[in-house]
Amino acid sequence: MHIDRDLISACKAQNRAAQKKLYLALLPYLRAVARRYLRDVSYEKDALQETFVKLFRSLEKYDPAKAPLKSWAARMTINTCLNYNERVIGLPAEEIENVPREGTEEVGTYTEKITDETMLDALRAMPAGYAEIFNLFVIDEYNHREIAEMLQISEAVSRQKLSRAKNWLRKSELLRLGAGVSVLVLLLLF
Amino acid sequence: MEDEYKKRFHNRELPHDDFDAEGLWEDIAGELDEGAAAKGFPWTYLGGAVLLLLVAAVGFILLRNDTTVKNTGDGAVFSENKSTEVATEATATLQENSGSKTNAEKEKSAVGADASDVVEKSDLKDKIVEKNDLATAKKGSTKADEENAFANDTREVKSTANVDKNVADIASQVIENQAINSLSENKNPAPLPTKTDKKNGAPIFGNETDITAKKQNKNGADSVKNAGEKEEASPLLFTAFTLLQNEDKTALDSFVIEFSPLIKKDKKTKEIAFFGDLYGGANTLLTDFQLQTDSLTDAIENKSENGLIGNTVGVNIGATYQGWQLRTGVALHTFNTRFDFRQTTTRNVLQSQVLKTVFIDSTGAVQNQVFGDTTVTVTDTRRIEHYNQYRLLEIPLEIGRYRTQGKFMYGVNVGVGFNFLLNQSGRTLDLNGEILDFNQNTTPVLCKDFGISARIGGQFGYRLTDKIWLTAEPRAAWQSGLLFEENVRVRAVSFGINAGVKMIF
Repeated sequence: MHIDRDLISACKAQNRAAQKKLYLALLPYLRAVARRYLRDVSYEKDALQETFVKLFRSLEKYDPAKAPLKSWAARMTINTCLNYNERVIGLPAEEIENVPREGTEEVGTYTEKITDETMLDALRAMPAGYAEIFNLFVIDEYNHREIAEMLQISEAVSRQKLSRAKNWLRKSELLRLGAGVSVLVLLLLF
Repeated sequence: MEDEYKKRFHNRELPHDDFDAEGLWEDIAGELDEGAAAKGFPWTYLGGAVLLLLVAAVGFILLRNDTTVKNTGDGAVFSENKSTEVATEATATLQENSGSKTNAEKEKSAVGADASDVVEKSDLKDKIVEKNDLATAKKGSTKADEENAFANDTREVKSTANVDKNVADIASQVIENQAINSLSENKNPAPLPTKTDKKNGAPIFGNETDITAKKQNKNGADSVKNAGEKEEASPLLFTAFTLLQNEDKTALDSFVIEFSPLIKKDKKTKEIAFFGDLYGGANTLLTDFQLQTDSLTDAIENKSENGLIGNTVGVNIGATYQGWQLRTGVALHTFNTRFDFRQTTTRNVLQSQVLKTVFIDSTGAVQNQVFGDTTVTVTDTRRIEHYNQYRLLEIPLEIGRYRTQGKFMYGVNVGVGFNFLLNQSGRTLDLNGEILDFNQNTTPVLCKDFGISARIGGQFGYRLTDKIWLTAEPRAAWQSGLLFEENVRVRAVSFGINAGVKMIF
């Protein structure tokens, strides 16, 4: 994905063709981001539409010296998705330290055979607030200060939730492995 | 585990083969188009636009009033309209009010005078059909008139001579029958004529009128009155849509409902967007009389003005902001109505040389007949139809709230309309039952030059594309109204359907 400055300038001048070109260039990446952050993927199109409208309207404020456009757009997408989670979908009021839900039918080495969508399902199954911080810190490489700023929480809370998110995932993996082994044993017995 | 997530999802891109990228772009572009129109809410521009429209409309009205020639009362201004007066009056050969001009004409007609003579006395030169029977009158003139509604200025004068002859024959037969019946029943004369009008000698319709007519006599023509002579006429009994001059008197209430399927470019948006739409459609008007006193009940019991198909064209400009809509514009309404007045009165007249007694011998042969004067009760039926027309220029100012759900949109608009009377042409009756022509440039006029209406309407839409909406707008407007006559209130209901195009600019 190459986005040159001329394209950005044309977009700032409200050139619809240039805007569409930029839209098509950013869409695959922003779509992937949106699917990771949205708890209900049926809002994917709405969230992306809102993101792109905001992006083109605030492009004047974009400073290439501070960050690549891709990162700037990704952050905008993340913010939009977090707003959707809270405003439209709604988040659970309390964090629940529950056991992860029962795993899938995957057998064997979890990280090798599990599908991308299952991994995303696992993220979405996390208690409120865990998945966002895990996404931000692990996948999108934001630091705790940035996360705290984005989510309006303290850095300590960010660290705590990240730790809990990782534990939750480990428990989830163990559960899945246990289920897989059980199934394997049962198959061998019969 | 974390590494696996990072490896799989960091900087990952999803192909949009299974994604409607073009559709999403269309939505985005549509929203950008709307938002690009303005940076702030344009109260100044909208206010200026409304003010400009008001000034233009007022200027137009004033200019028109200054340059138009006053009506001469010869009916020429009614080239688009056509009226019929069915004036049926069974005039006795003996007139109770000798010396009355009107009755003199009636008498002349009754004895077979040329109908054109009667018409010559009438500047209106409308079609005159004389019948002795209301049903016959309906079948004849009314149907013909409906078929020629708003036709060109074709004046038709139908001779009454033949009609007189036929009706006279019927009347004679009826009287003869009555005379025979009188032999065995009641020879007492019927009561004498009731109260009569001071001007023309015609009986005044009112509570004193005894509607018990059983018999009819020769007919006479009730000539059409000259509207030009009635400029000083007393307050009117009737008017139609719009507003009056007598602010302190009663008002005509109008209630307008329109259905406006507009093609709109609209979309839920959080930014301000300007739009303009051009629309047109049809309307119709219904009216209803609300009597304030009982004394006029008989006089106007059968008087009504019902709407025909009219039309509305207009243009709107406005802005949307976070689901709110503010709009104004100009609309031209043409309301067409049919004034249909029917009045039935009875009176008693003295008939001379009427067969009173018949002597029959045992074989059934007539031995002798006695003729003499007798009083008979006659029924007068008068029906007047006329096609009236009112043209109004309206400047609406509405605010609306709407929501969108997928491809559907719904909402509501409320506001006011500033109405300016552009033109009116038609006829009505005054308190004396005289035909009264009215138009914008004569006195009296039925409609106010200016009035304000309150409007409310629904708004339903279907998104054809991201830039165009197809909407239906049922709209209701209550228009403050007017009436010259303080004892009568007229309500009007109008229905319309409009279609148009709405564009974002």
